[in-house]
Amino acid sequence: MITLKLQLLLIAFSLVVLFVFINRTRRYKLELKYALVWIFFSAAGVIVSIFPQIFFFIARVMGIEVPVNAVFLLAVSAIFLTLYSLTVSLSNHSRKLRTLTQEMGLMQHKITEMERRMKQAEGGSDDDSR
Amino acid sequence: MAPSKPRVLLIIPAFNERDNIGPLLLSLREQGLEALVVNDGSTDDTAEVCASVGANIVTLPSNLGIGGAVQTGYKYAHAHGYDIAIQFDGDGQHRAEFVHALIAPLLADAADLVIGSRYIEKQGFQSTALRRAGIRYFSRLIRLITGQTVTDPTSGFRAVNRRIMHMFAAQYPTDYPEPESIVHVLRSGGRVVEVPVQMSERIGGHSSIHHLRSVYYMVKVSLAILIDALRGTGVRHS
Repeated sequence: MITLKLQLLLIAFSLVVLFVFINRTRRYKLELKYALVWIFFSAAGVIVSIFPQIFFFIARVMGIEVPVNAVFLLAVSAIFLTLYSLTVSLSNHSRKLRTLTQEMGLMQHKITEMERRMKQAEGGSDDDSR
Repeated sequence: MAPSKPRVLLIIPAFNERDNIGPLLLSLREQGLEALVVNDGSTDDTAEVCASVGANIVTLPSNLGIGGAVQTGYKYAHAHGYDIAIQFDGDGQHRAEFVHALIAPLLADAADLVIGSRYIEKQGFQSTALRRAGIRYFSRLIRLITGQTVTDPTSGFRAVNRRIMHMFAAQYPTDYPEPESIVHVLRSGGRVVEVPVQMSERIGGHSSIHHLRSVYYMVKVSLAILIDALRGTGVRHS
């Protein structure tokens, strides 16, 4: 069984997480794209802790003897999925950053080259290669 | 290949190589070799040293690591219409007198990627016993997966034609790229040929691979090779 104490604790915890992520997004501190997974899981947390019958059902279906363990299992799964989404976006970002850095280096090179040519064209006598 | 003189570019990745890069660039110019230095976010005055000898240099705003730096060179070479791009270390390990031997198979259209190997004639600097053991291991792993023997899979002295240049410009491993990129080329149906070269012991600086990091290196590169093999011919770069 899930005690009332634990139930209230779960509701409070989920609500706090939900509030923090919505509020931070509201203040433009978080991108909704990345806050979404947190908002979704904490909203789900609020719902299942208000209706703990869902835990009993899940525990029965999965063959978990103590329903409270279903709580932990779901929580760990939610964290796992959140971390996965972070790893995905981290990989995307590192690829984008690499491309950006390379393009910036090449662009800088092009600008320097153009400036040098322009200087040569107007100066004429400018024999310095740099 | 084209009857006109092929355009060859040496790509020199440089991270804090102020002591070696100046003399190297001057000696390359004396030998009539065209070079592009990719300054990988050096914190010393590598860029100034290169500029003072009038070198062609691309400076990256932050440090990308060897793979990202070299890939910048491949992008440059491809965009500027070079026929051959050569990877050449800025620390004095690689010797310019072997460049002609290295590009010969490409000019004869007998290869797409040519690797300069220390272990064909076993002359010149042979690296430490421990590293040689690591290199032999990678060599066996690559043979197991691709069926081709590459005696010096970690060699960073290598030349590619436009086909591979294009491929590398689009997709190149980020760190410790050498063994993995060989498997990538073979998987894409590229021809890999090795030619004997001699290398020198690096003059200054430190190898990027040592101690505990070598364990990480072995594991990561092994995984990279195995995962690359899983890509088959269907997976293209993103």
